[in-house]
Amino acid sequence: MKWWRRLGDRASVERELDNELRFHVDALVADYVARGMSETEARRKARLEFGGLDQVKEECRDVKGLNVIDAVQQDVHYACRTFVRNPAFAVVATLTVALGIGATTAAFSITDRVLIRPLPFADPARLVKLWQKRPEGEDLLSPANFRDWKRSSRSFESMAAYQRLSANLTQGGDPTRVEGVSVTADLFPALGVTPSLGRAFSPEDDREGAAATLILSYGLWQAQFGADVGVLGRRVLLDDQPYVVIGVMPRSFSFPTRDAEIWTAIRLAERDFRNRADTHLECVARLRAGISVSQARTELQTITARLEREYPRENAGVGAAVTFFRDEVSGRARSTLLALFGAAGCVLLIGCSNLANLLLARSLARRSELSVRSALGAGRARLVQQLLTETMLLVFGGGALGILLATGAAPRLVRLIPQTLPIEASVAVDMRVWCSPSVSH
Amino acid sequence: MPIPKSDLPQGTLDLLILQVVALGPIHGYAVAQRIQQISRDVLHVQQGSLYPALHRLEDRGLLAATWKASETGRDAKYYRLTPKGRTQLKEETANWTRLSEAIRLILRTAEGGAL
Repeated sequence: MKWWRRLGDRASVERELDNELRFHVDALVADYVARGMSETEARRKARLEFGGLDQVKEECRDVKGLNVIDAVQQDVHYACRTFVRNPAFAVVATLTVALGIGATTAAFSITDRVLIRPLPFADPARLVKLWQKRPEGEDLLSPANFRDWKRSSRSFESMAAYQRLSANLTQGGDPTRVEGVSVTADLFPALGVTPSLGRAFSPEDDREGAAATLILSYGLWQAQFGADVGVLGRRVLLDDQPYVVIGVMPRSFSFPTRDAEIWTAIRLAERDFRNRADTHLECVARLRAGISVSQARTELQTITARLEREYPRENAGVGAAVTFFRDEVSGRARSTLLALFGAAGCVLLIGCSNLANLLLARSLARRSELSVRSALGAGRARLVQQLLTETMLLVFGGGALGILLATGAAPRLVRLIPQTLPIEASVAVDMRVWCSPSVSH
Repeated sequence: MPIPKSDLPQGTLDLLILQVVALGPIHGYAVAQRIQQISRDVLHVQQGSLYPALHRLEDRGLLAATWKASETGRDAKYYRLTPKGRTQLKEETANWTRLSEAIRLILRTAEGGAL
């Protein structure tokens, strides 16, 4: 018989056990009486010999695993009763756990989002940013240098440039200020993203003198264009220049930062390449598979050394720097988040030690209760089980409350996600955090 | 002179119960009696350990139990061996024989050495 069936048929199991043992005792008595003892004496001797009837029953129940179930039920009931009787303790303990876990959970969720989770691009680990490097620091690229790097290097699958822009967008009514980026046609392929509506820039869109084209962010499309599918081909004005809308990006996409709402083809013209010292392009590139950042850096340095010899005036002291795109997170955001996470971890640790103290103090206060229990026959394991059940209740109650807290707090922490990251400004408390209560326990 | 009684070595009670039950369906009281008789009063089974052991063996599927009228007419719980129990009994018997033989050998050698 399986234990759950026994549980359902508890009364008959008990009756059976009782009958079986009673039969044994009676048989023993009958034996003694047959050997000439009086009934009373025989019964007394049988009792003595058999030992505690209840103890034997207890052991039989143990064997069947009934006691554990019973005991857990009992303990849960009992724990709830003590909590009700001593609500101050229960509330303080639960809140301690909840605060610790809530803080850790929220901090973990946001840290994970910003520092750990890969960027929402194809194979983001191979995306790097390229910089012109001068003794005084890193600098943007000039179009001429960008073109030479792109033509000469072998370490990259693709290399794309972009430039921030900020313009007045007019479509019939009042103009609105929008932030955006002018990009080379190979940027979206390099990131591995395609518009969810319409098309990306083609090399033809990116030629000098080509018709001006525009791609909208999902958010702008929703807010300014009423999510109209017929937006493709529509003419709008950007700073009074006519542009044609050719696409809408997916909702999750943002580049290079969260506030970008439009993308246009950069259409570098021949005159842009004339001044090698005019550095205004940012450059993102995708490493070829199997090429490391330092290999790419070495190659670029060879190229820049050659360019320095060819253009000693404009390119004096210009080297190259390669950094992971992920490291765009400014050092400050990183340390803020790590500090937040560390602080939350400390809160959890302090909470744990407070809880331990509370429990310790309580166990001192309960010493007499425990000694009465053990005098009544509760084994060591049984007492430990009872105390564990109580603690588990506290911790799981606290844990659940903590995760609720974190779910409420996480959206308020969104401001900590740097604007300079191309990720959505949303923090979801993910389900992995359910592990943290058990860990803290 | 009373016969000296020996304690059962750990783990042997299960084996004895299986062996006694193998002789035919039997209730708990008779198991205790039978062990005592066969061992010529050397082995006394504590009731406190007999019933937990019976229930444990039943739980592991080595014994099966039915209620039926005993010799006195009163209903008693009769245990019998299941096929699984029979296999277990064979294994444990072989094991025990090997073990006790080995112990006997060692004791004899030690005795020889001392002489």
